[in-house]
Amino acid sequence: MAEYILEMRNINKVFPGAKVLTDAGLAVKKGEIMGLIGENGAGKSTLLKILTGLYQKTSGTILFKGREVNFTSIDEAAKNGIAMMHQELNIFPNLTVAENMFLNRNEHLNKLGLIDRKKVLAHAQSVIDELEVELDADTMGSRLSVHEQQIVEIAKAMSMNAELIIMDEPTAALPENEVETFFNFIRKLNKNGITIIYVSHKMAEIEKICDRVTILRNGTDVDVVEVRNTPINEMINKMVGRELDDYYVHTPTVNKEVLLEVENFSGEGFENIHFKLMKSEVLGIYGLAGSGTLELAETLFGCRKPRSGRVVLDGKKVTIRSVPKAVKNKIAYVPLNRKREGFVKDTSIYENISMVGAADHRKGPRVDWKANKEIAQQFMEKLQIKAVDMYQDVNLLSGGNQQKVVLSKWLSIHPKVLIMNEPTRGVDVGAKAEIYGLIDELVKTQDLGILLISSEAPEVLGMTDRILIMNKGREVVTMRTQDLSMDSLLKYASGGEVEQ
Amino acid sequence: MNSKLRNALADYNIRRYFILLFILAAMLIGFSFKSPVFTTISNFTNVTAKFAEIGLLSASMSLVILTGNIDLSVGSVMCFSAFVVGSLMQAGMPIAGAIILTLLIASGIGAINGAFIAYMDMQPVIVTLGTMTAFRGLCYVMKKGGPIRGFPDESFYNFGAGRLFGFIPYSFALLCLVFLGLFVLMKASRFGMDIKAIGNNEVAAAYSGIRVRAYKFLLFTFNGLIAGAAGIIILSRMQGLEASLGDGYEFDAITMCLLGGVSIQGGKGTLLGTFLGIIVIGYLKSGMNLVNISAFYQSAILGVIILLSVVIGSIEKR
Repeated sequence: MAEYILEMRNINKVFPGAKVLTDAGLAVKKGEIMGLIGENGAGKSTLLKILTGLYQKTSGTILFKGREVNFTSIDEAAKNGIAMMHQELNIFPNLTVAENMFLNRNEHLNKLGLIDRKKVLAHAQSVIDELEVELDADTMGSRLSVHEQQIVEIAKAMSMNAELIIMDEPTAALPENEVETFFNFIRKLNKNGITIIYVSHKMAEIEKICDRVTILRNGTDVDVVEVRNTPINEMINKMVGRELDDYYVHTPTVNKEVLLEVENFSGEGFENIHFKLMKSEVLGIYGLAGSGTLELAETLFGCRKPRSGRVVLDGKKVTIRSVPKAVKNKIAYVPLNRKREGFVKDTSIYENISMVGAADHRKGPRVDWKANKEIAQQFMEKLQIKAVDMYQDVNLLSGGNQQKVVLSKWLSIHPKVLIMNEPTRGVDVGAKAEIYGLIDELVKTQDLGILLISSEAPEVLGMTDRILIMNKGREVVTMRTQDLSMDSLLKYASGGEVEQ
Repeated sequence: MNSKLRNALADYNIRRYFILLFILAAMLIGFSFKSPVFTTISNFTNVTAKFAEIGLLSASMSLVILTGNIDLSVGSVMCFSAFVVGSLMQAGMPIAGAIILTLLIASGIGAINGAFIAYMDMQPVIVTLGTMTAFRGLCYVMKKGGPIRGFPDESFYNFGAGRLFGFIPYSFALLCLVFLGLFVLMKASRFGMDIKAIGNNEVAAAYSGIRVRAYKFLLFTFNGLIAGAAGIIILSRMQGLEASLGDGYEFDAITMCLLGGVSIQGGKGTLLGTFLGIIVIGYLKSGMNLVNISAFYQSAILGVIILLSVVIGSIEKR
């Protein structure tokens, strides 16, 4: 079994009140690129944190290069040849590349115990040169592109003789056009004998870069597959643990009444967008990171100002240049970043739910807080928000319940158009299914249309009637969902030609 | 009963009221042993007249701090307003006209702060530090024309010397009215919820359709207006003024808010807390004067009390 560089066997991890990993395993061959996929909460990050010493396992065995190891800190793991590249890059803008690489490492000290800058610079440059990239080790961190920052992170790992590098969603912050460059770089690293564990939600990337994939579900590794021989759908089904059809509930609409019409719509980050949203329709807007879907949504909602274009709502032309104006026109928005934009911390559930529509309920000139509380209570029951009571701080709820509070806030004003941006991000599988069920119920029973913006391909494919696919701020095509496959969706989103 | 009390004390604000009332009761008992004058009605009149102006500043300051902002300019603006209203009257303007013009000017200064902070996204500390310094300077400039003292129409002093029912200073009555008005506004409209939401998460508030910039602009403008009113009242009470008047009032006002439980980070606190904070500090200073504690010790004692109240208030977090 010498071909395996890393073997994690029967790893169990129990947190107070929750068992996160149950006999989870991960076996990585020397020199391969191993993908690691699983839904949020499946245990990916816990497993990797145990490997790199951030968490301690409850039980199980970890073999690295055939020897049993038990790291107690990231430093220790790094010294033994395991490096972790985080989703958020930790490059200090006010330090040079060399300083960033050798921060907090007592190497290259002179006799006085001070850092010998010349030696540090020379060492850093020699590592970078070995990676065959054009980068001066004396460059300030603030002048690096995202891709260069990643190179510095990897160079740092290489300077510590890393043999196994873990990459957690490395392309999350990367502009679209740098992804291919980054992949080439990974392949080169890999050819030089570095083993890589690649964690991502983006199936297209997994398919492109990985040799094999380990699939985690509910804290257990359910399967290891060869990417070459396995269709993406099969991997997703294994990841979700059921057929997509019964996970996503969607009733196709037959309504032909136009609710929202957007013409020639341009703004910062998107150009010349056209679409029509019917009543009772779920229109998906799909694009990879940086494709302009966020900007389009926020401009429709008035957070950003449009440059030009026409928006017609219910047959009337509307101009929306501020959020209050959007609210007045009954356009609601479930934002991308729940903690930052969605709810107000240190504030109760009922106040958060009342935050948009409080003044709609009045007793004479006064706001009727009792009526507001009753409405909050109704939504807590209807959406099954799990909390002590409506006075509980929203900050203390789980991601799924927080999202339900944000949804309740908007549903309480009876919106005509509900824009949802990644409504299930950071939400566990159970709550995810509940939110899908709610979306279906809303379009069936209420007089509204939904714009569902998502970068999760199975989600848009499972939940929408039609999909508007965007690439680099422009519309690629708008198609009926039933005519789209996972492959064609991803192909169009990355700018591929549309075949008719 | 016991568990009811414990539940009530679990609430941050209610616990804060208890602490303040406890300090107040302890002071009333303690100082009255040393000085029989302390608990008399005439002392009440003295204390409240003396602290009504700072109290007014802290009323509107509470709202500014609740949104997570701060205004350091109010002491200077107060003094500047006193100079303006005095100069206008000396120039022969009728009292009503001088007062209205002064209030407009003071609101205008607040609006300048508000515009920089709300619409140009500048740091409130820096902006108001600037206006604080600038208007203090203007006070010294205006003083060069001679001290402001003696006005043609002596009925201007009536407000400062006036007593409602013979023992409540007009200025304190106005203070209570302002607090009551703001209190009702906060409870009966969505104003209170909105400013707390802005203080707790400005971005999410904006994404919920709350007009964050308009609120900030209006609150700083209102703070200017209140500083102007405080300046007119203090001139009416003191019947003359120096260019250093109100130096440090901004910090006194902020102290009263914080002692009353308003969080410097915004989002947390109540008007009732600030009101109790005003009474406690007012009586504490008066008591320490009556028993002849030197000004240096007074400052040190006040500092200790502020720190202690913060410590007690933050125990819940652990």
